[in-house]
Amino acid sequence: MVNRITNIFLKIRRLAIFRIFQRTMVMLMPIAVIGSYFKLFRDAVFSPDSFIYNIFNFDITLPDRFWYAGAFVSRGMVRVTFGLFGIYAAYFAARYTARLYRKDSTMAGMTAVIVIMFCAYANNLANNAGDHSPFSSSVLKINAVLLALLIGYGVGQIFHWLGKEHQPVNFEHATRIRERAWNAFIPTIFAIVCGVILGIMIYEFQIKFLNSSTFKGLVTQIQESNNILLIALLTIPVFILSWLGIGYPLISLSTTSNSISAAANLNFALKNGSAWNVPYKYLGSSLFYPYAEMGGASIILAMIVIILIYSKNKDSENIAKANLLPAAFGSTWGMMVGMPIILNPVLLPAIVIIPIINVLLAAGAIFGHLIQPCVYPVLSGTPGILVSFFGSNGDWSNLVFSILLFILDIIMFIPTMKLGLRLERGLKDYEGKND
Amino acid sequence: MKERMINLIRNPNFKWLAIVLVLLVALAIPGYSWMKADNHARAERRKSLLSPVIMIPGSSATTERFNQLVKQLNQKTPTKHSVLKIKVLTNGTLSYSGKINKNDNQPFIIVGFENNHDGYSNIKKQASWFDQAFYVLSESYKFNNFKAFGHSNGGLIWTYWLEHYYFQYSDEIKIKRLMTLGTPYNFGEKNINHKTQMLEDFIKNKDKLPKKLVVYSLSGGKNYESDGIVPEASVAAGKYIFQNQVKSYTAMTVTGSEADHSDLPQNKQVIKLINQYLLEPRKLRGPQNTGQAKEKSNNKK
Repeated sequence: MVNRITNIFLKIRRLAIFRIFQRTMVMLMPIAVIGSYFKLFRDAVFSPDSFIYNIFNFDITLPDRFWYAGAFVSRGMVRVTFGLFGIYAAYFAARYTARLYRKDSTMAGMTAVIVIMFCAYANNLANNAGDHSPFSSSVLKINAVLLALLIGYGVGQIFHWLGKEHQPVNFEHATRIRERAWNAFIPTIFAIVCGVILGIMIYEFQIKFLNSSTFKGLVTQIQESNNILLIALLTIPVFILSWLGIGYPLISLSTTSNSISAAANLNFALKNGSAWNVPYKYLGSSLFYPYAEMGGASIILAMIVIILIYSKNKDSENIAKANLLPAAFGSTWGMMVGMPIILNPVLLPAIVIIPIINVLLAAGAIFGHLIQPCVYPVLSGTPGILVSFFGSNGDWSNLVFSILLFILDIIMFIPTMKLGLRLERGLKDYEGKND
Repeated sequence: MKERMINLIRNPNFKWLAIVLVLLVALAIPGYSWMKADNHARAERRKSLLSPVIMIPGSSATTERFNQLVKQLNQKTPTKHSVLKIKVLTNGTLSYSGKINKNDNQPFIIVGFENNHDGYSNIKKQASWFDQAFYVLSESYKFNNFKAFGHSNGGLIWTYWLEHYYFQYSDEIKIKRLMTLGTPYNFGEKNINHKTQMLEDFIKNKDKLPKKLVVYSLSGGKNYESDGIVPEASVAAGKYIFQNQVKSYTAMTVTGSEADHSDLPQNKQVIKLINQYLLEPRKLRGPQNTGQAKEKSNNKK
């Protein structure tokens, strides 16, 4: 049985597209880790509604000069790492696709950058965004990394079909480079023509694809529903999308909801001094972030802990170690990309199932009057395990519940870990033979 | 089991987990007290029945400008409105006189400025000084709504403040109504085709005005063109800022012997209009907070 499952996953993992995406992700790991540290600074320290900013009262204690410098650096770095992540992803995806088929990978990468930048330009123009610079387009953001991977893959495939065989050499002189450039000409032109058609389609049909408003329906459904089953059901697409590398719904669900029901709950709690009998006990916005996502702790931090305790793989351990601090404060992209979690077939079942179990357990605990619903607003960058505690105005049973839930999440990851280890061995044999 | 625990502690990664755990606990303790204080303040503000009327006098006037007005407004009320006067010095420090009575839910707060000169650049400065006063007021009295009144340039300071500063408070504190009195939205210009820089700016930023605000603009008609100082067309220019932008915008003109620009705050018609439109409807009978409670439930619908 276990062997059969392992074999199925091994087969999926061996597909060219997954191998390419995994390599791309691994290559992008340093950018993602650096970005997630700056995101940690931006969201938890250098923004007025953030955790550390408020508890140390930086409004008064931090000189303006440091505050502006810190905000400038952290915002700027997040913008150039995560805001332009699509460029890097498209480049490496095209590169590794072309390389897999022994084509000129550098030219493929550059062509993919041109194509994705044109799509970003078209998307921005179509959206009538105030800022016409393609660099601010949502197509390039890390939250839409799937798109960049697909564009890179597509360009790489064009090089696969139209490009000439290419063997990298140590030393290239001008004639060889010229020959290489000519060889790349046809696939480059073809890829750009495809990119232009794609861009025209984006512009003509005003395809406002992949930004935070695309998933508004899904997000509001979850936030404003008071129906546990519906919420549990809808967490599935959210986490599948985030596994696919589309982080917009998850990000939108991480912000405080200002729906009428949430306001009614808060009003009730403020008036009565406790949240025990609020009108909407199972409101999606107070179940999803504190429990399903747990501020990034339910999946990412749990995975980091289990890797640090059990893994014998030095690389995984190092990535987990590097991401421990940002993940503890809810900045999870470093781990998502570095592990990689995105598009990693082994992890999909755990990523989808664990949040549902969390939501159902939390709803059960609220039903059983063990914990209070989280109705109070929580600062950005609040450590995931503390979200429920602070969101209930410091109810100690909420804290105990969160910690137990977190431990349960870690335990639920053990089978996935074991499967991953088996797969690693199988994959090593396979990649040793090919490639 | 015991062996496993020992293995776990010997694991070199254990120290990293421990460090992060210690860090979390170290941050959770101040975080806890901050959160408690914040939620407490939030609850206080939510429960607060206080709804002050904040008044700003015009240029060259001091916080004493509205004494006569307040006296007249207090004549027929069973509970007198208490008055707090705040003067903002040019260095941003506040000097107080008067106080808010404990059971007065609708006190008058008058904010004046040491530098009370005319001109757009001074208006901007006065708006930023006003914001300092408003911040202190909002923190110390924890009201969740207020009403605004501005005479002459006071109305300009309100408009500038609403467009540039109010968003910081708008989540927690609602401005219900704004009444401006003889406010020269286009300074001394009689012709609306000549828009001053200030009016241009006000119009440019009008989408930052709160959508639920109710605005009354009162002008004086000493003669057919002006109240003696401010042209009627300049007061009327307010419509380019507020009309179709806020919930409602009403313009009214009072005439008669006391329709002089500087007499306006004492004008009987103006007093009547303030009573009728700016202040909360007077509660005649019943427990103190029924009027408020009713209004709250009305608001919900």
